[in-house]
Amino acid sequence: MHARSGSLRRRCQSIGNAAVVAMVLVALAAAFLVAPTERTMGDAQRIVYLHVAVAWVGLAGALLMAAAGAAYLVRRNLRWDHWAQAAAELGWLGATLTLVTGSLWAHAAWNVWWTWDPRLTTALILWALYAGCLLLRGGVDDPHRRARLGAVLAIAGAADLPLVVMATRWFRGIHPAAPAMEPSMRAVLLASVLGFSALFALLLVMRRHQLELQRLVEELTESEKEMPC
Amino acid sequence: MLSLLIAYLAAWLGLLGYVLRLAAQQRRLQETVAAWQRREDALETPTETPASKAA
Repeated sequence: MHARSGSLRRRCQSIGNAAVVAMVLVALAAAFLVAPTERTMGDAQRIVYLHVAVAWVGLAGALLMAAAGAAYLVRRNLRWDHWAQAAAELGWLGATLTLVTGSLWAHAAWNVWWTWDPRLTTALILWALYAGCLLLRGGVDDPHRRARLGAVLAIAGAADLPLVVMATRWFRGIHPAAPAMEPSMRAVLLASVLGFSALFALLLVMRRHQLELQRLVEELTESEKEMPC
Repeated sequence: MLSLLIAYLAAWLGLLGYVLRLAAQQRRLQETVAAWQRREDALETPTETPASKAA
């Protein structure tokens, strides 16, 4: 019975993984083949389909990291810290890719790689928060102390999220707020956001599971060392 | 066009790097667990001593 349910679960997982990869490939193909070429920027505008998707992942990662950190502080259960760690890693990747793709788009649109626009500055602060969180976590050995410090930094860093999201409305800058798009462009953008969200959710779950396994291995190694010969 | 290609390449390289890191970590963990399993199996296998042979 257990073997059959395990096999069914593995099969469902494989189908789910394949569906996520297919979603991302469809989004990628749509960005190049379905979306029309923009009149002013030409092909460089297609960066937007990737940039918005990874930026969304970068923001969602920070939100999840703060929520998991708060849950850890309430429950003191390391499972929540594993979610926070996985969200921090993937959010950092999303934030890094946001800055890289944004810089490439900015060079094509504004002829500069970087400018201290409010949206760009707050996005850079978010990236620095992720980097700080990961560095802090890497430097603390005690898992509960690491979880506590990571949670506090993640919750404090979440204050940057509304600033990133609302920067184009609250402050004067040159970053576009929500540019008007043709329906086909909007559909491709939506497909890209959904595809990348699914991919990052899959990686998040896999990484969390791996962190759980890693903790079990560490605990067994420690208990083995303490055992009398 | 070059900016577009670099942007997509950077994204895929970033993702690939992360996935490879996960795979390497998973392999290390599985090796550790397999080593334990082998040691457990060796401890559980009864060894033949002269006394047990005589009995």
